[in-house]
Amino acid sequence: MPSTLENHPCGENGKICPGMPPRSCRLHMPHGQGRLPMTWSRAYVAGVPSPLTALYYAQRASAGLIVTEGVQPSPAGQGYMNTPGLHTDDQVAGWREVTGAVHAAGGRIVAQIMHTGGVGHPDNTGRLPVAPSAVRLGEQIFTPTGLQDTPVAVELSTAEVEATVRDFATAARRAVEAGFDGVELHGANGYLIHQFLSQNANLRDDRYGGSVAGRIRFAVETARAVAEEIGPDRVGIRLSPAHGAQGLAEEDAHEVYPALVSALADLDLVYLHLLATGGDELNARIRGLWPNALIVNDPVAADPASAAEKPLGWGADLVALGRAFLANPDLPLRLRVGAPLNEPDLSTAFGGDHRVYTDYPTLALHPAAPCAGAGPRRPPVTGPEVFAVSRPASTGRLPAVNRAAYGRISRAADAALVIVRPFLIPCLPRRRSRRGGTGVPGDRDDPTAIVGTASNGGSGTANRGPGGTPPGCDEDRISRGPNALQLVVLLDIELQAVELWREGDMDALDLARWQFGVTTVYHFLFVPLTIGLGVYVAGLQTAWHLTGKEHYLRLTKFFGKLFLINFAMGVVTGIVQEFQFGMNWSEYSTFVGDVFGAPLALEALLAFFLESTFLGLWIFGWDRLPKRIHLACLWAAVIGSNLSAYFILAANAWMKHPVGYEVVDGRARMTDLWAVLTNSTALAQVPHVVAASFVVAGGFVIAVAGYRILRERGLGLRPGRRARMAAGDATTPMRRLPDMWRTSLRAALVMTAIAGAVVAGSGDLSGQLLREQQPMKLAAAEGLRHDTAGAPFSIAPGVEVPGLLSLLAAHDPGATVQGVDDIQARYEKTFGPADYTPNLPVVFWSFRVMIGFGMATVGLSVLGLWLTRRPRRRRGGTAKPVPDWFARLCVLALPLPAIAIISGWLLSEIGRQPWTVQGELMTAASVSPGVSLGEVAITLAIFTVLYGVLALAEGVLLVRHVKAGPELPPAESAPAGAVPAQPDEARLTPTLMY
Amino acid sequence: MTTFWFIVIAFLWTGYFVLEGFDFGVGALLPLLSRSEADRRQVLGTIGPVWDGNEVWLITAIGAMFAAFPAWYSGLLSGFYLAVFLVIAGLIVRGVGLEWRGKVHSRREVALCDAGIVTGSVLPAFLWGAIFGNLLFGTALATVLGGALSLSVAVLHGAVFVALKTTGGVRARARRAALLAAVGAVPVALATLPSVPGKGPMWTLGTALLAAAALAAGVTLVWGRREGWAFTATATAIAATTATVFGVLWNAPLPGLTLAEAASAPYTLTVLTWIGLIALPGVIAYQAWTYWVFRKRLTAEVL
Repeated sequence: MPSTLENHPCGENGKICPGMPPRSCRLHMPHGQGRLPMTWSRAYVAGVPSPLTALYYAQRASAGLIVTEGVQPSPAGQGYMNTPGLHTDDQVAGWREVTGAVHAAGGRIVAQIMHTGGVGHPDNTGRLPVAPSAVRLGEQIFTPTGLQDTPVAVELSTAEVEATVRDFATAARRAVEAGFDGVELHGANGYLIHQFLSQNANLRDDRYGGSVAGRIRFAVETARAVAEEIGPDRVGIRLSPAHGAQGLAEEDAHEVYPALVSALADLDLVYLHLLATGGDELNARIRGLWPNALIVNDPVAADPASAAEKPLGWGADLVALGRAFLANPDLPLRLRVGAPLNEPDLSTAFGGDHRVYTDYPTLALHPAAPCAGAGPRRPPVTGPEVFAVSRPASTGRLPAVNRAAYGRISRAADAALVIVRPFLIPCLPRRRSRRGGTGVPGDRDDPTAIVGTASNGGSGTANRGPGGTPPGCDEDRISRGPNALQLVVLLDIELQAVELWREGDMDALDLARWQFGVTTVYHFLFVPLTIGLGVYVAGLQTAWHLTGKEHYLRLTKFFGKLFLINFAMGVVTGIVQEFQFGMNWSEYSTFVGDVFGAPLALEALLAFFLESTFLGLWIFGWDRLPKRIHLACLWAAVIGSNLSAYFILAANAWMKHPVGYEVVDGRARMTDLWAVLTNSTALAQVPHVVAASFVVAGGFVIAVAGYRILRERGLGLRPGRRARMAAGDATTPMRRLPDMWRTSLRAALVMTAIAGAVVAGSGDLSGQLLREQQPMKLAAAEGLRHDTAGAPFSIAPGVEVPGLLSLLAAHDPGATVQGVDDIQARYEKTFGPADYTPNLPVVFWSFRVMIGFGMATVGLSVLGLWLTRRPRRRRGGTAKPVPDWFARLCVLALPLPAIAIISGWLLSEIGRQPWTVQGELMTAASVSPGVSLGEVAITLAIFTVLYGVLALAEGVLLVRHVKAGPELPPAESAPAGAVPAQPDEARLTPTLMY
Repeated sequence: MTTFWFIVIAFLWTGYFVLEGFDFGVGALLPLLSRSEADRRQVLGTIGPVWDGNEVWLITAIGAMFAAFPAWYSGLLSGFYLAVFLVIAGLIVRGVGLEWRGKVHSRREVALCDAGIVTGSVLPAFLWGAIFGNLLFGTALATVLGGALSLSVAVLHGAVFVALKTTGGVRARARRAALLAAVGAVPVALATLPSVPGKGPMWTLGTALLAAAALAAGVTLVWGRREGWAFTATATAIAATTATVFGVLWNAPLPGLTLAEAASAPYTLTVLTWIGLIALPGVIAYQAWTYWVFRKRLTAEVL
């Protein structure tokens, strides 16, 4: 187990964690409480283990080596609430039940003797903690009344130190009496033995302090005393060099630990359980100095590949894989099939909420979704050690003691039972057995009642060699190195709280996906308009600045107001995006933050500040800034908008085509920012999306201008209808400015047509990149089943143009395009079994809607330009008026490109599924494990309602302002008297808004 | 490098709380400071040009956390899922309310916008304090106290800001509101003060005391009608409080998580550092310029 978990008081007290913030707040929710095994807090009355304890350990008997949770050797050694001891006869009797049950089940169990030293609290134990020196250790500790500061410890006198050494020995004797197979001395994680080793907790000037020799003395004397008491072949020790736990400082770990390990090696202890916290160099030295079995736990490595293979590479004999089991209840199956692994969420693992351990999706439990969780690809583990996992229903077979509480106990642990058996049991370290050695306990082939089911599943037994000799124990296997994963599961108390919450997982994932889809698509309705309309408005104001013509100013203010109404929505819905990755997709965020977070941070720093600050200046600066600077402010804001589009699209492109990174310890690490920012996918996508945004904005202006033209002619939207005009409407035909709308229309038509060409060109480029980078999306867009040379393109289902897809994707009508089913098969080979096919109908149709509606918009703009052309020969001749029918058609330019761009987004993002990061991380593995179905349901519901209301309000506001038209020039508005369309508030504050 | 980025993020949060603090306060006080529509417009005019830019400090802080400490970012946001959601919901209705207020037509619609502004100011102001209170101490009491502290100080800060930026009746009411807010803020601040010792590094004790002193000075200065200095004092109080909070978070930004574990790789941090060093002074410069442009007191007549 990762060090910090071990002996974490949280595990021992079902109701705990009033003080553990984020996740554990959840514990106070009613639905959370019922599922926790509350009874555990009563397991140790007066430090005596109960039948429940026995039950708990016995269930895990076949884990190979069970190391108990920390057991105090004396009353003074207790620091936390309700921890067990080994200093009274009652405790020995209680443990005897435990060890008896474990042995009956064929397991081995050692007691971990833990003296917490200065980590303690009077509220827990009724006494002040004792330590090498009178210092404060740790920050805070759980007490019955919640988290409290640790007190300053009482310094042990020299005589007391010697007595403590004897306490350890006595406790070890009692452990043997209680039937333990041995003891593990807890010399790690900042507890007493560790405190003696450190520089800042051990300030003693007697022989137990000072020099390196002095500081290691307590550990060595304790180990010697214990070894003399019960024999060195029953004693292991756990160390964590330079670990920093409880605030211990060990600057000189490279001196202390080699000295300590040498001294311990002389004692011939059976194993050293090392946390690989001291760095590669120190690890290697320790390996060199330690002749016996070395069990290594790498608490930093996040994926089992590195957690196991690296230590095995430098000579560890056995590897403890706590975290991998936490995150992958079905780790054995995943290792067997080479399936991707879930990444443990370290940010939550120590938070004290047990439920986080259960939220990881499993393969075994979701046969229908065999790759529900996914992580970095890894090669399958193959060979004779591959065996099937049987998930024993051990809890069902147990006596009905508190079945309600234990009914949900860890299937994780059960799965662990199966994998560790063939590897570990025979290889359990024996004296001088660093490179192998057998020693198969005879009873291993005869697992008895309690965990009998563990092997009744068949596979566990089936994989043993004939004659009951388990595989996995010969020298060859042990020395094979990295690929032979040898696992020790050090079950600690935390696992007992694992309960099943998995049934709800997929639903929470689905809702999270819906929420992301809804909020993102919604956000994306406003963003393109902001991007394009901003430039359009800035262009108008520039035209006014250059020409001085009044109607440019009026257009600027008119469209500027529409721009701002829309901008507000873009901003507020954009806030959601910045948070949402962390809220709903914490696994994703942790995996990619290093790479994906960078463009987002740059976006905020370089683009958002620019945009928001200068827009504020533009809105409020009409009267306060010189004209030129005021115009520059708008341009700065507009540049900010477009820059932000670039950064966010670069981040998005990385998800589709990850570049400039490497995966280290289960996290993507950026190696080249420039590569990320100049990702080929981004360079094709940015012009595509930004130009499409200009088409959307152009369409918006075309629609508005068409509508205004009709309205000022007194016409309604439908042919033959008159417009309904309010009395005194500012737009009555008499007052219209002749060329104003025609000017704005033509400007928008030009913008749309040019942008449309850019969209087409960059789209073509994107298509070719798809063939290379995301063949599945390309295949799905056509619904192409098999690899096809000269692939056709279906204009509609059944109407195929031969070779067109190949032409589009490769500029060669004969080129081969990969098909969905074939890619699926190839991906399964590469990444393991899973469904790699996105939702085909959605992708197929969104592709066609995008192209069709987009082209229709561009066609409309070209038509408009031709209709409103200025005759060439007669310069200065009157331009053609906009025909009524075309003005009506213009209104269509509003929905058409908006639908096209949303379809494009759906194509892009749904076509990427099931990956969040192509080839690296799957969507199912990206979701926040600690956020429940209920929570996502609540937020999704509120978002939907809130967004619905806001959309309606925005629509009403926009329509109202379009109908009202631009403000009238002062000369005209004065005689009009009261202007009903402009109520008093708005009339009072023109300067506030402009 | 992780240290540096922790400081950068602490700085961004400090900037956010100092700047958005008065936005929240102004928003929350909107109905209390105004007797008429002109008053309301005057009150909102004080933050009109700057609130959006101030909010970007939050976006940047969050973005920087994402890039520099992904595990911290994801753990914080997913851990406080509902609270963070409510903050966002608040920011949405406030943003829309502020932006649309001048563009709606009927008094009912204006009132709706005002309701959005008030809700969206009170809710995040309270929740941020509650979130950080819970993060540091984990108890319900700390959560409520933290929320009360951030809300009351934001209200005080906002009131001082309005008093600084306006004239006439609004200014007088803002001054009274500031004194009233102080009645709430000072006891809450005193109640939270004893929790600081022993919690983080020694210097957090200093910043905590500085915060308390600045708060007291702010109240005194409001009393003496020295609004400019009072605003400096309340801003200092908020900055010192934020510094204290981050000083305590230093060892474990989330329980069980160390900075080193949460941090991105050195390459990412280095690249971001260079970009940040180049860009941030510019940002601060043009934001400062904004405040310079709109430095004048707002009178009802101007509006």
